[in-house]
Amino acid sequence: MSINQVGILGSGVMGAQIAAVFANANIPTLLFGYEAHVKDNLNNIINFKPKALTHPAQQSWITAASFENDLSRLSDCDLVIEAIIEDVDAKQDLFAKILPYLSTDAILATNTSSLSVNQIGEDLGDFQSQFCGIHFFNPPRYMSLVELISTEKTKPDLLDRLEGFFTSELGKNILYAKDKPGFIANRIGVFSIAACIHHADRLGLDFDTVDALTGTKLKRPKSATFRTADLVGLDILKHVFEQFDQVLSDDPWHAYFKTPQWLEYLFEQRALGEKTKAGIYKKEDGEIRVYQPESQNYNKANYEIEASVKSILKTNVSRWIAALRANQHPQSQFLYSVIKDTCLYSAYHLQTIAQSTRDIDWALHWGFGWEVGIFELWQANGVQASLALFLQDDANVSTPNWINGVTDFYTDKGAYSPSEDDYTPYSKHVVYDRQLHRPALMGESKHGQGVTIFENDSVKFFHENDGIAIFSLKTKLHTLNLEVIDSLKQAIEIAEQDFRAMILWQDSAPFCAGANLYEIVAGAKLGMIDHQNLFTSFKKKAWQLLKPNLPNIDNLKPINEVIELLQRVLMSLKYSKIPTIAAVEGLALGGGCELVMHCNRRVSHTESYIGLVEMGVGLLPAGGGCKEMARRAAKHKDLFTTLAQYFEQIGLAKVSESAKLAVEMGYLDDNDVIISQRLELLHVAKQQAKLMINEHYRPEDVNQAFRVGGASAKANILAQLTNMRIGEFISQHDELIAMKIADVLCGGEVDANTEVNSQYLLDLEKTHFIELLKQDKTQERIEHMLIKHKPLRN
Amino acid sequence: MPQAVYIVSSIRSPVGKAGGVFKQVRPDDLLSFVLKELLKNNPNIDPKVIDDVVIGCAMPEAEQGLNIARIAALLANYPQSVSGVTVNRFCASGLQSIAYAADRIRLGEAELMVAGGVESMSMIPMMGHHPAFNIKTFDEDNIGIAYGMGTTAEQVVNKYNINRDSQDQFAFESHQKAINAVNQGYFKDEIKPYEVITQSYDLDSQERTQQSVTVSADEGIRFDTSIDQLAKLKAAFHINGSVTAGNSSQMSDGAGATLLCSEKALKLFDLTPMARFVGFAVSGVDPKIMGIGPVLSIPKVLTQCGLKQRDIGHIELNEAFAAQSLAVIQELNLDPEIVNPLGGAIALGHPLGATGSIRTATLLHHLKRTNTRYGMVTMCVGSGMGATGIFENL
Repeated sequence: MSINQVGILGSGVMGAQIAAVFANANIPTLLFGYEAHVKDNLNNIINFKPKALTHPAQQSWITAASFENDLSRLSDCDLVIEAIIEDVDAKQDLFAKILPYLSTDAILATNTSSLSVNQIGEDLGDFQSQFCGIHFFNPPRYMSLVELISTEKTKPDLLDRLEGFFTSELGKNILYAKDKPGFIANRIGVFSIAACIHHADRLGLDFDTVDALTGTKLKRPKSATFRTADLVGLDILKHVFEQFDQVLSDDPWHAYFKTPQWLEYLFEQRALGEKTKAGIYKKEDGEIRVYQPESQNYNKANYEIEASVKSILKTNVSRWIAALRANQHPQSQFLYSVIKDTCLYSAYHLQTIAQSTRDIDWALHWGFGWEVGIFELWQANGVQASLALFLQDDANVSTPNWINGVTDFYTDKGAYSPSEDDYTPYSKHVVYDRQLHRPALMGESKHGQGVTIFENDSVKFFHENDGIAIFSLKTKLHTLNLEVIDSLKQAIEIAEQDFRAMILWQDSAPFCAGANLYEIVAGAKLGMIDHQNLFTSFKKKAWQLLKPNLPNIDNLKPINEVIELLQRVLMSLKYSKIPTIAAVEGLALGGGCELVMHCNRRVSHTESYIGLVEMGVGLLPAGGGCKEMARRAAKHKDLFTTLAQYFEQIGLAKVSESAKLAVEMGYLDDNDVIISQRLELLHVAKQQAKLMINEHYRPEDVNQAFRVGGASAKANILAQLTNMRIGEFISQHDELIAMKIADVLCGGEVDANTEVNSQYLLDLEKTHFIELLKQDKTQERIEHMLIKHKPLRN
Repeated sequence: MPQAVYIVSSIRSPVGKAGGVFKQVRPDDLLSFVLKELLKNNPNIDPKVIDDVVIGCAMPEAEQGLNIARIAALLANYPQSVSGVTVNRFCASGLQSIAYAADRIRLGEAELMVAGGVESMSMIPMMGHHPAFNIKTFDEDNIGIAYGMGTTAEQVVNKYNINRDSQDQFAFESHQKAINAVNQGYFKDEIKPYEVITQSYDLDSQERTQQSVTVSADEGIRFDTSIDQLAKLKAAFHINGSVTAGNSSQMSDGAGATLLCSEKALKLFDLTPMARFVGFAVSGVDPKIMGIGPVLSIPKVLTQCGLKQRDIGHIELNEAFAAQSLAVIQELNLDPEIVNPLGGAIALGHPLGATGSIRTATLLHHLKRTNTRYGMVTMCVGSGMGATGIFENL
């Protein structure tokens, strides 16, 4: 039985956000709340930050319903999720009220992060077999992890059904958790925070120092430990600590869960983090300040990471444990202690809370954004070798019996499961057949390798014996460099010869963050904008001294040639004999957006952030981006209005906040495919490829003419710009760039509705790009972006 | 020797906020309503004698396109023999229409004329649905044509040293004077209540519904505004500017109509004139500071009519922006006491092409009320013009 309608009980912040998850997947959803405010709660979903809906119109999938009058409508729901306050009595009372209205084969679930699912459902009688726990992470639109918890009475196939539905239709990553406090992710993730607090206090490290140590350097999210706590809310953190303190009295690490005094104090002061604009951090006078427990003041962040610690973290993770332990600096001892505790804690509780080490590691990846799970890290450092070190430091520490016999947590056979004392393979659920390159943890065997056609530092071109070639980027953030462009040219040629379709796909987000700016600014600085080899050896040396990380500049080509090449390659992507398909997720910016637009079809993950952002670095899209937007505008009856909209998007470097919004912005087509599960992108892209092959795909005529807005459309845009410049909302350089964008979008100053072809606009793009690149202010913008990672306004 | 021109009746619709009460009311319906009301007010006249209907409209397209003057006259059941012409001088259109109508009578070529103005800013946006500037606009000499109205207001602010406080004060007073006028019932004589009939489909009941609401007052007046509230608003047209949504005129919907006639027609139909049309003048100024237009057109019309500024007892100065209103008052040394005693466009709204006709109705009724002899309607006009008309209370 499929899930065609969902009921959400409780229209508070969590309930409303969960309803939005279903609405985003076009699933009719009833949002239940009290008559007095449920409609307001529904209408407020559109205002949530971060945005809960992928498009404002998705709200129409949600209907407000009241506990007082509409319970009979529950009979139409195949899945009912309760998301009211975390109070067992309240939840049980509600269940007693709604039970008579539920359809006999409906699934009833409770969304709880801290209560016992068995206890919540204990009064459900026969319905207990159709009851389970579903734990969404906050914010549910953006957090992929969902923990499913069965009770002792839950029917065996129930979670199976939910797993398929949540994975494919909602794009979630599912873990089965046991009904234990905090389930899997919060139990370990919150322990890790507790360990950080404990050892920071012991070693005298400030909050900001801890965050600098436990963020990206440790391969964890930038928000690290305390910034994450501020984001989650200190009230929630305190609540979880108190709950763990209460229910985990037998836990050997019980003392770690005692709520620290500073947390009590901040809670009393209503400094609850992000939502109250003050927590552990506070922004004052434009600078970030951090709370000092001793003085109870906020001071300017002032940490320094010890160089020796920094260099350890730069080495391969497999060296971390021994090296951190050996370094006596408090920062090193801190990291070692936190890692050690988290390893031991996870091992000790593994059997109680999860099936295998894999569950805990994925929980940390998906729920807390760790790039390396705790057992992955431990195994990389040697399971027994590390354990021996841990025991040297603390001979009395509690360890599970099974640990002594284990040399690996992960092998080709799977992940270690203490209850089976063996390695368990991944779930064979049919839904994972759609995940062609299902991700694997360190030490596990990889899924789906394919047959390599060619590979270099920047790209991998391969196939999977089905006549469809796949082009993937290997560069950082999947940026475009000269090697990528050359390789793409070669790949298209090969694909046209030997394959029936070609897919642009990355094994992880982003799709492509744009062109490599280093190459562009280096070329510009060396005088290689439109001339060959004008730079002197002196200039070259000076530049290399200045920017030692630069790619080998001997391979640079004059930029006008690179632009021409890029344009030619993208045109051949669009007009090749075989269909080309982009599988898009995450960022597709600048040149990445142009790649997307030049494919013949697109399969996008709902979370795709697409835009032409060249304006931010003082340039205009010159890889056919302006040309494509002009072509797309020509199809609209109201050409001028459409051009004005597209101009505004490019002129303000706007990026779509979802795939659905990218359709509205013209970056995706109406008939492109949008899916919820990013891991199914390749599968669906291949299906689209096969469809196009079966439809006898033929490219459009490359010389096809289309109309442009010409001088009048450009004049409309200039009128807008004039007022913005006089009002000093934009700088003169902004105006210059914008005028050039307008010129290309409108096809220059020709009569309105003049017919032009693609090449004419591509040449305009190139001319304006080169002119802008020669401007000092544009070069300053590019350098600023490279150094400060944000746009310069000059 | 030109013939004298008399005004027998001058009326108007209430003024709605753009997107407000008249959101779904077609401007041709609103106009034909005031045209009908004008005849109802004057049962003595034979409509066949009306020579022409002259209507001002600033964005004459779509629902107010296709020569709305002729269409609305026919919709108002005027005789087919009565023709219609739409005129456009942007914000002065509704005054220009009166001047053109008066000219026909002055020349002796018409005895009875209807003039008016209409604008639905709910339905037709500023600049219309399909703006298409000429690229030559952006030659340095002509760039002022591209200046948005708010941008010109900021230019006036700089050139005439108008500060933010005085603009907000002016805006606040506009509302207070309008509130007072409403409380005194001053607008009752000129406003004809309009019945808005909304026809829609109710998704819940799955039925077509019809609702009727009678609108009898201007919608834009903010009874609760304060200097503090106005001071909080952000400048909209310059990053460090002082022109805000609160000290600018409102976008509005409305219509007005005036019946003009000759001495001969007065006698023929036994009409009592309420006023005499004295004169009208326009002047061009730099489009970049269009708000200053009346500074030229006011002295020009006074000279034309042989009057002095001190002869004028009531000035309806269209408040396009507090900034330009203050600059005009300052440059001509106008007596603030006689400018907009019932409030202006900041409070009452500014339905572009209708404003001239609407404010003429306000002026003529108030001249009567206060027994004042001469009054003036004046406004600045986009792309750099000023227009002023003088009326004598009889």
